[in-house]
Amino acid sequence: MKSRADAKPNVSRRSFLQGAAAAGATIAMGGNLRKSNAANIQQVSDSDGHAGVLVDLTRCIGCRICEAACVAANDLPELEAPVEDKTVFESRRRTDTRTYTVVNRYATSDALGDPVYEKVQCMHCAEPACASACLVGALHKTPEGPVIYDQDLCIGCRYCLIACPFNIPTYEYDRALDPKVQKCHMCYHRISRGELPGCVAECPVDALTYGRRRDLIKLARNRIRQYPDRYIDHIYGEHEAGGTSWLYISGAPFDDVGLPTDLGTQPFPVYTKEFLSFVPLVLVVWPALLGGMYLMSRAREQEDDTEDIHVHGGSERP
Amino acid sequence: MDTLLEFIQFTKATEYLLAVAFLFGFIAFWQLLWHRGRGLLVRVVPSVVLSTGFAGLTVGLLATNATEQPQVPQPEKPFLSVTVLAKLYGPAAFDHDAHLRLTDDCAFCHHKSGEATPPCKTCHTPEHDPQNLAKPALAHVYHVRCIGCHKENQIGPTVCAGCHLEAAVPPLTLKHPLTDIADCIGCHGSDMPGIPLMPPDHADATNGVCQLCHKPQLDPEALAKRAMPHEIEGFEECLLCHGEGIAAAPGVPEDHTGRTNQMCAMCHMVPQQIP
Amino acid sequence: MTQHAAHVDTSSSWIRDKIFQGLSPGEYLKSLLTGINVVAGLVIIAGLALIVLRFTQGLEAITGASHDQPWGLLLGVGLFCAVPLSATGYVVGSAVYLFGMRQYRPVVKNAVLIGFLGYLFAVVFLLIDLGRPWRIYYPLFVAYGPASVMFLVAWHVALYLSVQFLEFSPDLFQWLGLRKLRRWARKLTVGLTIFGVILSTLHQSALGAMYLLTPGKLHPLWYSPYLPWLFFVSSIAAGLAMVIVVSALTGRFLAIRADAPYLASLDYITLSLGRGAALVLFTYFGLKLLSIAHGNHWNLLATPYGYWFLFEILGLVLLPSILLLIATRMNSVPLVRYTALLTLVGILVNRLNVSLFVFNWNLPHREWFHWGEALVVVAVITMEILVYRWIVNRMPVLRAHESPEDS
Repeated sequence: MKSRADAKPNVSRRSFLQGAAAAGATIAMGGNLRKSNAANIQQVSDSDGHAGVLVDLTRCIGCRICEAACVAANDLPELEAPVEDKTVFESRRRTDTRTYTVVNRYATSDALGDPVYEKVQCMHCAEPACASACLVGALHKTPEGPVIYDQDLCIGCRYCLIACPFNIPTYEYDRALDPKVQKCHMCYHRISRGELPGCVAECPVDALTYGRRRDLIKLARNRIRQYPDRYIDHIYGEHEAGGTSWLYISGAPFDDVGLPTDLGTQPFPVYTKEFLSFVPLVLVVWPALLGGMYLMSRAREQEDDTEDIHVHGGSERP
Repeated sequence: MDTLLEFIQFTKATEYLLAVAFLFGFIAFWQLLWHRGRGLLVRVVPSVVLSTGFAGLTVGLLATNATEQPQVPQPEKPFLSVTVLAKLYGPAAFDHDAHLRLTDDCAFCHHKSGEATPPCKTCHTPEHDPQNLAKPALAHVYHVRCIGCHKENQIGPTVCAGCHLEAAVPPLTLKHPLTDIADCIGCHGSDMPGIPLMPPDHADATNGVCQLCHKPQLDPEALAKRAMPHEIEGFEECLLCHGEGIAAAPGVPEDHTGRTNQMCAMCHMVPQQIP
Repeated sequence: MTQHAAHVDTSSSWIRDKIFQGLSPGEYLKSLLTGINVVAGLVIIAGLALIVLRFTQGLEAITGASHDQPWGLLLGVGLFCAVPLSATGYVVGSAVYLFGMRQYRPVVKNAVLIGFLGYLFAVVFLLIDLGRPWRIYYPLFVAYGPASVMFLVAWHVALYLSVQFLEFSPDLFQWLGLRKLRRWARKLTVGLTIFGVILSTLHQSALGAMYLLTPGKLHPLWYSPYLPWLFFVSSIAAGLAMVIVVSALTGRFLAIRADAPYLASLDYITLSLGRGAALVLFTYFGLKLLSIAHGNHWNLLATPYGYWFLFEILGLVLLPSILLLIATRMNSVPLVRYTALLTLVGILVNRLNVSLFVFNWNLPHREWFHWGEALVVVAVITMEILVYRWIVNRMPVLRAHESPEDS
């Protein structure tokens, strides 16, 4: 399993990852075609029908209207730094309990010095690490696609914060009695009514496109094909971490715009699945193993005892 | 190692060698723990030798496969697309009759409708249709069809304010920190040597629009460097000395390449004149 | 263990005998006013005050927890360190009851008690750290997330706590004079031990498996698919080392509660356990090397984090293993004890590395240490030690038989 500290991404590595993606998808779909609800293992192909959003980083101008729209759509308190305040770009921000999405600015090697802007929010993975981490099922992937949070079940263990490879969920450490996990939920309340998510509706430059994942992938491929000089030939999120509902296309390398490229294509729940398979094995095999050892040691003790009585006429045990 | 398979083969090989080295080490360790009395060396040394041997093999295998760091191919330069900020520009004025005179091909605009001429909004919704991403949203359609045709035929407005007559673009309040000039397009929109040109997709922008995204930063270092120790009068040919480094005059920095003598005074002045 | 005159009021004499150890309430309270007790009391009071603060102002009042570093010392020490250190129960229990190693019998009750208290106070730490601790029973009875390793940990801690309590109950019943219950509880021992080993195998390794879900966030030298095995094997070493250290401490500070066979057996037991620990640590070292090989991370050893990793495996794993080997050959009990302490430090460092120091290692600005959290941890551990002492002072943990008048 290659890691971030290993070789920088290169062309052969990308093709190896794509090869691994095919292998991973085959493994995921080939062997066990059963859907086990308890283990929440769905196949990657099911995510094609899910709602998603395509983010075109070549269109984003960093106006931050999406941040304001998100706040309005979710009844969150007003942004600390108003939309016009561009000094926020001087440091790299992350999501917050009151800020489900942020836009970050990255410098690129453009001669004009134009930066690239990147919108950060929950990726709504096809196989979310956070949902597999949640021990009470408070985070789960809805049939429509968004990964949402049920505050009536959450016990506040924060394992989901540990698990998310994109470092998205946040926790209300300032609340004593009703702290919640906060993260983007793709405006589930709006899309259930047939409306667009807040950020998508307000983006003035059409950088965000909402639709079915399979349609978004087609759209992204079209754009890349039509403007090959403008885009890197890769749809980020198509296979990363097993596929995400939020997809990115960009002109700058994804690593340079805050999108990790070393996540691999294996869905994250698979990482613990093998260990969990160990559990029933131990439950079944250990009793025999240990019970057998106990019986053998008892038999040996009795043998020693009787031997002792015969030889020593008494027991002198340590 | 280009493939996953090669990686697995390599790491498994090192693991197996290490495991065997460990097993022999374990035997030696066990002997050291339990065995009392003579003959310890005889029992321990062979295991240690074998353990070291396999450990050495492992190290050897690792050394022969030191990974190289291949070059990262640089991607093509991207360019940003600035589309219209609809809220600020308000509704557009459209003279349909004027267009009727220009062409009798109704289907050019009213496409995919046979002989009928439905309004655009009949098919194109204000927000794009998630079920059919090939059909753009209404505002986008107007822009593509209108400006595209205007540009192609070199007739008709192509600037935002050309159609959005009631544009609510705020007047430019920003001044350039070095030159104090309040007209961005004047320098950055024309072909002035040594001044960064607006990218082509900004071509429709007006001065008021610039300030919505751009906030020119005041660079204290640059600010300090523009102070001149001598008056301009009598020294109008700046490049004569500063271009050649004559009389220890500080040279023209690289990012000023192409600028003319007249442009120097826009930023450079004696300290008393600096606002 | 004083003779007490017959009292008309039997209940108060029971309290006087069992709780106040034969002293009058006044005398007992006076006897509590030792220097150590006063300091411990102050620490606990300060800790309790901070816990109240946590429940009125939220976790941020006492921890440095952030969105990038959700778990701090409370879980890092209270759960991830406490659990391997509480492996004493299943390691010594299985040795005595399953593998028939009777020579460790004198320390098995102590081992079970240490294990029980360790897990009990791990739950206390959880109750402080969880966002909504009143919902701690949810994964057991209300909502299930079986794909989560933490779900497994929750179930196992609950079950294992019960198992450990039942394993310890014979001593409790003996103290309370409940003979029949004691006999019944003793019959369960083998079954409980087997179940305890099953549970321990799984949850000791599960604590490591929890981090399998974080491949990019845990430093590659510590992240490995072998994490569950690493945690499991090191827990055995931790259990052995803990028994060595605690039995040494009780042999010194609580000797009056021990009987002669216990005290006499300590040296032999210490050496034997030390020998076992040497082997386990050597094995653990081998596993660490395999983990590096598995991910082909040899080049990372030359980085700052690499040096820290080398310090952990060479100075705190291999070195104790070799020292224990030397101590075994020299029959040096003090060396075994000090090395056992070093081993415990190594376990703590490893667990804190994984849960705290090398998690999200490539992100800036992680706060590891908050004085409030540290104080709460110290206070709860102090509470645990005091409870341990209270139990050992009264129940037959360090001795085989109860006091003469009860026999």
